[in-house]
Amino acid sequence: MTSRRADLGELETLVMLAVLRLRHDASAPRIREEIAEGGGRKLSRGAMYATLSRLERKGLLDLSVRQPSEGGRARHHFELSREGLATLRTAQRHLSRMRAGLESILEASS
Amino acid sequence: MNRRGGDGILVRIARRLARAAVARAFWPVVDDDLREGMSEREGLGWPRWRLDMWAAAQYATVAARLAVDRMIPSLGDDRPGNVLARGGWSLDLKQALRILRSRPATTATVVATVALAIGATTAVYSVVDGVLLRPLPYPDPDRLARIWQTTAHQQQVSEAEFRSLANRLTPLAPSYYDWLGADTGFESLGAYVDAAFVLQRPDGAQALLGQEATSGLFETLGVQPILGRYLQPTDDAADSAPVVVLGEAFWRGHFGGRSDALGADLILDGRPHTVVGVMPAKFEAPTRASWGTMLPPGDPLLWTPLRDEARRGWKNVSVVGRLRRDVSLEAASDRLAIAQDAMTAAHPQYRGAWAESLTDSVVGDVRSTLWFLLGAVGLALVVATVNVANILTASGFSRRREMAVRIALGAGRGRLVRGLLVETAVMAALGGLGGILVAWLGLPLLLRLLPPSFPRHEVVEMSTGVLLFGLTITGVTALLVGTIPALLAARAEPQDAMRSTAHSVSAVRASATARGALVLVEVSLAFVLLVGAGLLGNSFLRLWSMERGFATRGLVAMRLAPDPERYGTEEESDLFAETLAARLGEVPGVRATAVNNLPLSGQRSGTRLYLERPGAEPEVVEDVLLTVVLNNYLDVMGIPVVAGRGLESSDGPGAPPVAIVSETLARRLWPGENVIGRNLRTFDDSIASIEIVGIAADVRHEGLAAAVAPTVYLPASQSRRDTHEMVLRIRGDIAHAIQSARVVVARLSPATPVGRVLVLDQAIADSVAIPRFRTVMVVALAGLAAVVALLGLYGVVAVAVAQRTKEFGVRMALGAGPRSIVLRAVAGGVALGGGGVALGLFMAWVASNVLAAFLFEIAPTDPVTYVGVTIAVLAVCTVAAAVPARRAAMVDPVRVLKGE
Repeated sequence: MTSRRADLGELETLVMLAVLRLRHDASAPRIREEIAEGGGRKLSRGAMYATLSRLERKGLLDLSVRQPSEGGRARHHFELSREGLATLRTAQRHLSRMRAGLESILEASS
Repeated sequence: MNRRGGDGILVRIARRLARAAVARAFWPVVDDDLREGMSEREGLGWPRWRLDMWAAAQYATVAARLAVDRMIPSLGDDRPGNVLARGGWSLDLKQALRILRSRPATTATVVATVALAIGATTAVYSVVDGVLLRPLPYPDPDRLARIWQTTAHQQQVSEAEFRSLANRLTPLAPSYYDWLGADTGFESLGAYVDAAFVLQRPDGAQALLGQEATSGLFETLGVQPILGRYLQPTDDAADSAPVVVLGEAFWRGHFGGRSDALGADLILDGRPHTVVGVMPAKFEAPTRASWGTMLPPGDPLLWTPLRDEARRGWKNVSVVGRLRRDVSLEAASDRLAIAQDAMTAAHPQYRGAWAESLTDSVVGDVRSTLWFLLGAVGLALVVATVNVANILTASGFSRRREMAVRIALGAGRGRLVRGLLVETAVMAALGGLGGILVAWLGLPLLLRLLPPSFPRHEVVEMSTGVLLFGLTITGVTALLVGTIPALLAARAEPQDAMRSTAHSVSAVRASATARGALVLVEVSLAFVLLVGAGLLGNSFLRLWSMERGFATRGLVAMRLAPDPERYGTEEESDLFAETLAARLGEVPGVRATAVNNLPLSGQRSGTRLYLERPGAEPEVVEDVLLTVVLNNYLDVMGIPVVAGRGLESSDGPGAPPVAIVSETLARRLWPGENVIGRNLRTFDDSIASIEIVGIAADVRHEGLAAAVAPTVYLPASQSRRDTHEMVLRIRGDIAHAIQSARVVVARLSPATPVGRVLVLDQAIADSVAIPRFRTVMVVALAGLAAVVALLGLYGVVAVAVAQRTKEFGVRMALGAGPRSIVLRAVAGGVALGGGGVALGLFMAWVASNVLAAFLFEIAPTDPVTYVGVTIAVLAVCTVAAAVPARRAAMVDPVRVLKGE
């Protein structure tokens, strides 16, 4: 199968970045909080799960189950797959190449 | 924390939907998250309902979002997130308006269809709202009940007959007084009878309508007077001073709305009555939902006390009651029945009593008619909606190129879908506004279609509730109509659509399948409506052609209230009727007679017959219609005497008492035997023995749909009953003759007012006004739905043929004849029509029970109607398919192949 181009939707990018930031604690509720805080955007659960499941279908995210050592409920959390990481890197590389030289404008206008 | 066991039904449904939409591996993530969210909110002290609403909404959005994402995976790729929540709305709106303006034909069709459908639905709903949903104009109306009695005879008749209006009996006055003393679960009871009064004024006599009422009526209904007081228990006593309570309209008309009306005297029926109070406008004691109440619609004008002396009489009174707070209607009904049983010894002719909620009693069988019509108009709305979806799918298909170009230029698919939805929403909004306008304009017309006796139609209006209803169905329509075409259009693939000639096979298929399915639904729903219309129309014709038993042409009835001062006694009153009939008969072109109650006028007098048997107790026959007549009555009415003789002038006061019985009564009394010469006694004419001298043909007294009532005719001169209904048989101009008749009455007795004048043909038309209304509405709706569905079918076949033009050209070039081409194209259309008919047959059959209550002498599964409608629909479908198909056969193969 030919790999897709590295274009990621904006929301997909946000979700993947959030997973990366949360490292081992990327459960769905935490992802949502992270995007609300850092991404400046309150997602509906519907939109988030649609994005998560799409990323998983594309093989960019892995879903794993962790059994806590002292008992209690199993927790689901997400990790970037190797392909996911690669795709994100490519996308970010393109993005920063496009950004190069525009820092003065982009940073100042915020 | 596991709350699953306690989830509300909404939550469970939404959760199941979400589970279906979410990939299996993913489900625990979603579910855990939401359950955590729920327990978090539970911890915050959210009430249960709020928690359920929240969870249901969350599960539902997840389900919807993931379902859409699966259906159109491309939707989210380039426009992730919720497209609906992002900016750019004003741009979308501007663009939608521009596009709609650029396609005026489609836009106008869609807007007009939506406007008509929503207008019709909203108009019918406003009637439902006013008549059924608005509470009665009394405080705490849910606790009000109407009380009826049943007779031994009625307990044997069928349920349907029992339910028919004429067979509910207003209670006997003595029973009412008995209930007052019994434990019936009612806080208060009130009784009243309609009454006509003659008011003497300096400038002549005026006939007034009103009611005689006990003080309990006012207490029960709980409406306060605007001036003075209403009737009080002291007024109920037999020896109380005569008083009168005025209606607001009369007070304004007669006293100019002045408060010094209190204490004034009115001469009513020759006696001065003191005015003690004024009731507010629109106050009235409930009247029955039947076409024959004596009171014309509108305010009864005044109330006088119904005195205790009624306790001993055999008057029938209307009874209303207010339930105690701790007693249900059913319980009160049971207690009444028990109380009645205890009294049966005293009044053996009545065997039971029951209570009905006052709302049901006022609204009557109109309730089912209105819900039924709302259902029918709703079906028509669905047909229209589906057809609009059909049109939009077609137009979306033809705009595939535009969509492809926009996608190729970088437009997101989500944004495209949103744009299309905005277009639909704009059209729906225009249609909805138009619909509310249509409803507003159409409501007066609809109300004019309603029979004047239709209960509560005066309170029907476009209320806030009605407007909300209109807006809601507009919104739902927009969603239903817009979603399929928008999703289909957004599936456009740039590379397919950009190719100039070839059609993308899959896109054609998807669009054609969707449109085919829509047309199938349209045809099936139209079929259901057509079957309903066929059954109702058939039933109405049967009802209308029912044998009336007398000639109605030129027949007019005038209700008189003879001046009580001059014609106070029985003899004087009889003489008056006879003299007046004779004088009226002298008017050219008029024959006149008099009777106590005219058939189909809504009034009846019942009696009990005692059949004399030699050497045995007399046999009792209950509930026989007592018709007291002048001797020429049968002759003037055109009721044939089928055996024996009619009444003759020799049957006077001194002569031996005689009677004529109807055929039904004769059959019931002595089946298969000769009845002429036999003897009977009536209940209240305590004359020793009456000889039966003749048998008259049956007359439908109580309405065309009601069973023929057994009837006994007595000459007025030998009966104590009044004959104040003058009956005129008029040859020539009816209005002119009525005018002459009024002059004759005024000459004979200036103080005798003429009450209501009834033209019998009109009265009969009114008596079937509700079935007619039902039939007209459903036939119109079915016709509309059928036209819409056939246009849809035509459109689908036309497009299908157009798309296959090339194929047909090739086939013809290879030697296929035009006939086979036409057949092929028609077959597609007929298959759709046939599918619709099959589905419609099934739905009509399932729904046929709904109709049963409205049908007269025809089964809801009448095979003739079903087969007839099936053949008709298939025939018209064939024609609708054949027209575009013929065009296909006329293609020139050479040109088609060259065009390639």
